[in-house]
Amino acid sequence: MSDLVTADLIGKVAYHRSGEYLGRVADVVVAPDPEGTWRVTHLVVSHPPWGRLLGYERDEETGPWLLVMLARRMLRRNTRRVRWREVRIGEDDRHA
Amino acid sequence: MNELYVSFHLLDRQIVDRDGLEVGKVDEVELGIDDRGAPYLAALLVGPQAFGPRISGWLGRLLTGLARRLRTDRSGPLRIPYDLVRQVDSAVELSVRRDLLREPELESWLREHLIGRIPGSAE
Amino acid sequence: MKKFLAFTLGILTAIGGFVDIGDLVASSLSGARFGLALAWVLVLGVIGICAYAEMAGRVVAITKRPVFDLVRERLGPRVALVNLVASYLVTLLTLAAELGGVALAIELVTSVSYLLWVPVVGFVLWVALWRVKFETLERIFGLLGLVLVVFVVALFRLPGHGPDLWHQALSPVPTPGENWNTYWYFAVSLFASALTPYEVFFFSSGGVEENWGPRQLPEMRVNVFIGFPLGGGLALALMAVSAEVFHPLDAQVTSLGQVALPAALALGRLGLAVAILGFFAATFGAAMETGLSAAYVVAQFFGWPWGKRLQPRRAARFHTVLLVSVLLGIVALMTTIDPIQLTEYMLVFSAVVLPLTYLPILVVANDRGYLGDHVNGRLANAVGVIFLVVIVAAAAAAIPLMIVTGAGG
Repeated sequence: MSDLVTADLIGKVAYHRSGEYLGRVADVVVAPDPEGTWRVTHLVVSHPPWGRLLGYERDEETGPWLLVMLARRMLRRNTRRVRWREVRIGEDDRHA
Repeated sequence: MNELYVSFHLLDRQIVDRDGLEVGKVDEVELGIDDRGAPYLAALLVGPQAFGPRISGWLGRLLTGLARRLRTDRSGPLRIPYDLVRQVDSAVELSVRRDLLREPELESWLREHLIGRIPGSAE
Repeated sequence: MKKFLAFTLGILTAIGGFVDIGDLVASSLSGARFGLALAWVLVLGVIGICAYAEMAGRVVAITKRPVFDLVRERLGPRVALVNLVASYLVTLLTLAAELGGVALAIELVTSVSYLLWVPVVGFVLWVALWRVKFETLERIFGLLGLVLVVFVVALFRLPGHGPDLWHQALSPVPTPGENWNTYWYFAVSLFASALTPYEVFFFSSGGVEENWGPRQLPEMRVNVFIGFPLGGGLALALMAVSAEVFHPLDAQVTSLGQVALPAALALGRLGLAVAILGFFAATFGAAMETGLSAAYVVAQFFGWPWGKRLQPRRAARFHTVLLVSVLLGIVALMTTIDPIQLTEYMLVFSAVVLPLTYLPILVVANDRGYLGDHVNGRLANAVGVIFLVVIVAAAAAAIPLMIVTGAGG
């Protein structure tokens, strides 16, 4: 059956392999390899938990000005991309 | 596109077939793990069994239980291997026609026992 | 001919928002109790729904994604489910009220109790939705509903109190005998009624039924900017004739017959007949809109194939929800519950979840990944943000106001 589904990653607590607490996983970034398989390259982590990003973490979301300002402020302070290999997923669960 | 955000671009998007007909929502995404332990996109999962667990708490359990009772697929959610995905934009477009995929049991049952029996259902 | 009729989807949608059974009574009632002091709410409602329907219409013309797809995609399954349950309940109860409204219009003509007509009307509605093409239904009921213009004619035919009415319209304060709480309660109800979610659900889904593409953007805009103001204008006319006839007498409006009275006073039997025909067309049109919307939102949340453009055999789950919704509507009415009172309560509750429908529309209308160069310009965003704030304010105030005023009593 399935090895892993996104619910096993998204929402889970994440640590840098050096031990630093990163926050919770907000999204999973994938990119195609030369054969066309989409591989996980990064995780987007957020601390404190931001919840639904509505799409403002991308450059394509351009307005309205008020919402963009609010969203980018919160995102810049709270979320970052971390390379997949550098992340350790914790045991702790957000309430199931 | 050179990269995708799984939660934003895939989860909860509408899946359409090559003719633009609705197939379902991306209720969950299955990730495979290769021999080196690196995860990759394996398949899209469609159906209440995939979707129920993503709603936390009693509501999710209620939905998953209801789904099981309402004749939704006992063999698990519809699994669409990721290589059938042609393009991801405002919807996830497949490269195949809907007829090639397994039809949800609820749809077949309702067509056979209710909708199909009403005159004019083929117009 | 087709181009000439290209705004009927907009009118039909607007009918559900401005002159369905709930509005026919609410506009009349507002006119009777407050004169035209609440006219500004209708104007505000028209601007708001025009702004958001245009955004939703643009999204559907470019991407073919109807509003509820956006709701689930941007807000996630949990929040979208809350929206689904609330929107479905409001739409279903409104459907019941519209069925009741059609039956009441028939009762006005036949003097046979409306309860006996309810199952008949329900059956005819379902058959129409099963067999008749979307476009045909839209044309017939969109145009017939315009017959309510009889109230505009009546407004000019009644012994005029023009200056008085203008004065009332320009002073948005409670009239003598009414307090601020009731005033704001009516304002929130009228506003929520002008922006009920099923309007944007229906309009955007109708765009898919009509196969809109980027080349239909001008047609879409004609629908929005002619259809909705027309609907709002009809509601305004109703409020005004009520203000003329009932307000000076301090009379209450409680029945559909009373709503028709000003037309009878101004234009005699012909006016009355035309008014009843207008009620019939508007409520039947709104019944179609709410019936289809109820099925649209459920199907769009789960991702099922949906729409009248498909053979029923290929959209069995969608048609089942449609059938079950009409049946539930009939059953609800047969309990002899007052359909109009019920919708008024439900509208207030639906005001609370309005932000969950309108925020995703605004966000997606700004997404270049979705719309490319067709994203919102400065004006669309300014109006969109202002109205989002108003919608959130109305959402916060709705239930407290209902409690404090005892639902407008």
